[in-house]
Amino acid sequence: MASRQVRCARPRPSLTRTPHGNGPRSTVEPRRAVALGADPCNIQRVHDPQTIRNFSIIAHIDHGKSTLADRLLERTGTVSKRDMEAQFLDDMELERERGITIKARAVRLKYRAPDGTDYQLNLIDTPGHVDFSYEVSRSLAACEGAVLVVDAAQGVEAQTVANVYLALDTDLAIVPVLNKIDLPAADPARARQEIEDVIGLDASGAILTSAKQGIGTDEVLDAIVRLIPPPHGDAAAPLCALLFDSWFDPYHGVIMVVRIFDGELRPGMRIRLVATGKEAEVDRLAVLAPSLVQVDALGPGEVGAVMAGIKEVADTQIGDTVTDADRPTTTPLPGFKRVKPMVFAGLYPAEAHQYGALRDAVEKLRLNDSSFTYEPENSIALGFGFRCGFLGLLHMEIIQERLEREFALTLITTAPTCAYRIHTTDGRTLVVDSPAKLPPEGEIARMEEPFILATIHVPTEHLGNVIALCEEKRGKQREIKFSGEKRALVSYELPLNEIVLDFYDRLKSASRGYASLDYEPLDFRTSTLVKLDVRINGDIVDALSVILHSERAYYRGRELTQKMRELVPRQMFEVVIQAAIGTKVIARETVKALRKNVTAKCYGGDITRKRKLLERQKEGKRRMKQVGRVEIPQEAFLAVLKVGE
Amino acid sequence: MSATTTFDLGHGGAASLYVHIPYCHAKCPYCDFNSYAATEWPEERYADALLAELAAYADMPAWQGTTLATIFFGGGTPSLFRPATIACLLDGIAARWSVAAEAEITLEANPGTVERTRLAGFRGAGVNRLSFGVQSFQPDLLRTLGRIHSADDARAALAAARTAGFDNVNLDLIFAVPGQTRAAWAADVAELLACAPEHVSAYNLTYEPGTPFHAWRGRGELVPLPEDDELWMYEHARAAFARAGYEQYEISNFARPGREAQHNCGYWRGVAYLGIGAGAHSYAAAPGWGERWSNERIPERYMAGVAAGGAVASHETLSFDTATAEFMFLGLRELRGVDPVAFAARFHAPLETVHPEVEAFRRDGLLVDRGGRLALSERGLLVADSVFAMFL
Repeated sequence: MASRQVRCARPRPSLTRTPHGNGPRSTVEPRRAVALGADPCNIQRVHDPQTIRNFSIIAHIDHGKSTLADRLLERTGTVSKRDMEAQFLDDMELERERGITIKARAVRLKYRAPDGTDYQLNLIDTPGHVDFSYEVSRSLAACEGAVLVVDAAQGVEAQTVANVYLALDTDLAIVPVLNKIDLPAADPARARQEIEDVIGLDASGAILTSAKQGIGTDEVLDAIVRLIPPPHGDAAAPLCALLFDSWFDPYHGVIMVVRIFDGELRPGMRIRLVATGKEAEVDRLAVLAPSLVQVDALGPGEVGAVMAGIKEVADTQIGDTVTDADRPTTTPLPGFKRVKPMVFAGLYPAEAHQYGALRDAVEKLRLNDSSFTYEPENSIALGFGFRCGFLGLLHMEIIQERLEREFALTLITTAPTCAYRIHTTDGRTLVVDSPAKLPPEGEIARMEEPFILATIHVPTEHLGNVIALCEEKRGKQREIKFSGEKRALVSYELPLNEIVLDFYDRLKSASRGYASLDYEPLDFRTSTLVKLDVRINGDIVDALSVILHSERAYYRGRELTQKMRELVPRQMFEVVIQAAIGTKVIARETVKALRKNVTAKCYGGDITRKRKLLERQKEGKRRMKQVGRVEIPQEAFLAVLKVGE
Repeated sequence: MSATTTFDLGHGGAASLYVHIPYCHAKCPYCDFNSYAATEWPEERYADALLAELAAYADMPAWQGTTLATIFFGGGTPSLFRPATIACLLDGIAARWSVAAEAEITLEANPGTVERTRLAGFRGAGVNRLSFGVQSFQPDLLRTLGRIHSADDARAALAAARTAGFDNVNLDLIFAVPGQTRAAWAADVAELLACAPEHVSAYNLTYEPGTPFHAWRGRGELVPLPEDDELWMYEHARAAFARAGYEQYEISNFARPGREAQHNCGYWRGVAYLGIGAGAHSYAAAPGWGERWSNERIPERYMAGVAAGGAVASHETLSFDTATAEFMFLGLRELRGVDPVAFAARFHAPLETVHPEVEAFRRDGLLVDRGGRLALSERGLLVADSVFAMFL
């Protein structure tokens, strides 16, 4: 099956509506040739921080971030025009296709200003979806400034806003750029006004560019050195560096990308990662220019790659502080969070024989993405698969899509869920990330569900809708703040359970796309949760079970059974579809038995034709999953994801 | 087929002969048979090609000693051919082949096109069974079906057949035609019984890809009957024919005792058959697990092929799996079912081992054991295609 049986392999609208970047910081393949090159640009010496600028680019999808980055690379001679693949930064197939940045990455540009000063510009690219907001925040923390790219024809798009706010929270200097001024529809004045109204940023000095035509590139470079402050740092202080990206390379082990705040990094040094406690000896240092170019040292303000023979990406957590093991810093960088999966789902091969291939594939992905977890799981309906943990729904979709695309697998995904805390009657506490693992009703004393604190930026005109949505999702309002007359910041305590299915999409439609969402885990709270099972002719279809709030159960049960009735084909016997909580049936639908399937014609001895028709009929059955004696098409397992739409 | 191939036909030298006449006055919009509307046709040239093809087969060692138990002229509309042509063909067959004394020799005829005066000629040529495509007695349904005859034509044709001396006549009916009511079908069944044929075929209309009906349904211009109506019509016909003394011996076929279509039964029972003519299909039960082949479909290309030494367009050697599946889904079309002993004898393995799904069907009441044979149950009959598919 070419498409995901379960979820379409093509980018879904909800994906393209995500901000300018998204996705896990994960790769299977080494991202660049890792053969360490010579140093044609003479970038060996430790730089004077005054000539360093660290910045990222914030833009809505399609507003020209990657094209602008390409022009900067080209203009500074970092990448020759000849070597330039269109959109250099987005070199993963998936990214190219979606036109988005999934991974953070950094590239060093060497820029000679008109006054003759040579600058080291570190362009730090960021993902941007809410699933990865922590990683965005760490990338931004490595910068002193950000270039805000707004399409002069489209104006400010909602998804840009959240990242601009993150940048402003990090006290970054913002360089506004109005791109695509070559388009007939470009309206720089209106776009400028929108930046001021919507974001509250002075855009009077915004630079007009057409990245496509190469217009304004010099002005952008000039503004970067002029408007973005240089980094500060003490070269003599103990090493203090921010780890903001890492990946596994088969030759060098884990490659860490760091921004140095204080001290220096040199080969042979023993380093320690403060949060994980991992110690290692630096083998090599390099800068990404953009291929890895070996250097002798990295000093304050610089961005570079560290190779220290570390085997596990999990030892190199984003946001961790890298310090000197022999002379550790007393002030590790603030803001570190251990990234934990928030959303769990079962991934199953559509065809059982692909189980081994799926195992190999998840192992490989895990090598590069420690935020993705997996363990073997077994479903009566779907056979052998894996229970996987993800940062969020987009992360889940990306992992699934990469598994299907890069490893040629066809997968069935079960409904995403969060992890619940279960207190049993015999005094134990369990963490349950799968409905199948829930103990029997009688053994449960109390259940707790995770809450998150959602922070939503929204134009005031959509505030009412957003509040209504949060209330519907069992949210508890914490505060509303207004910035000016047009924008509000709402924070809500929400059950994660209500977020995992469709909250983000619903939020977007409630605000016509203009709300942005950020969330962080809060705590666990006691709740009246139930496990809703779907029974088909009495047999529980384990892959369709969900844990949800009791108030939701009846509605969901009805919806689910109705959807299933549409998807389960008529069989030679009646099929009863029930939604049940324990033994209590709360919804019931019937798929009537196939009463007649007989076509008599078999003319003139053309048996071959008849046989081929029957074979086609049989082939359709082969792609179904068997529950008891009922054949269920794979789409039906998605029904659970689609209710509520 | 190479002339040097030698095999016995697997059925004691008995075989059937199918002769395809691909021409019609008009092409019905539901029909996907290999037929072509024509106002004139190369009757002699085509008959010569048939005889040439037949002669080539007769010379093959594999077909030496074969006795033809049945001969069937199908189409198209074989009754468009003159009785003299049919006589010439039957003479040609008899000259080169051994034809059983009691051989069933059927000719398909259209009530609207047949020249009733010809029927006696066909009888005189040796045809002893007629099959009329009546389809319906309702003028509006005949129009929907694109038939160019009337209900009166059908009745007159049958009367003429009797006069000509035919005592074995089949009438075809079609049900589940768009616009057809249950009452209209009941009326068709009653009218048909009033004609008192020896044999009835009642076909559920199907929408075959490539036909106008298929396209019209796709565009919503034809609305198929609800399943419940189709089911009612089938059940009504089964009951009415049974009451009138016709035994249902196959999914769509009913006959007075002893008047089953032997030629068609041959298909279900794995009897070897030679098909001659444009697009005709043939089957040999040996060598191996059997072979199927078919001719060029376009009449001109068929005739050119025969002239050039062979008109076979496709050929298939059956695998064990295919042959055992065919045994089941063909044999189960007959209500008497399949004989497990015959299965084991042909395939050197017990039926239950080769087709373990039989047990589940038994449990579900879709297959039953009846008189030592395995057959579709009442309920299995209604979902026969679903049952058949499981054997593949």
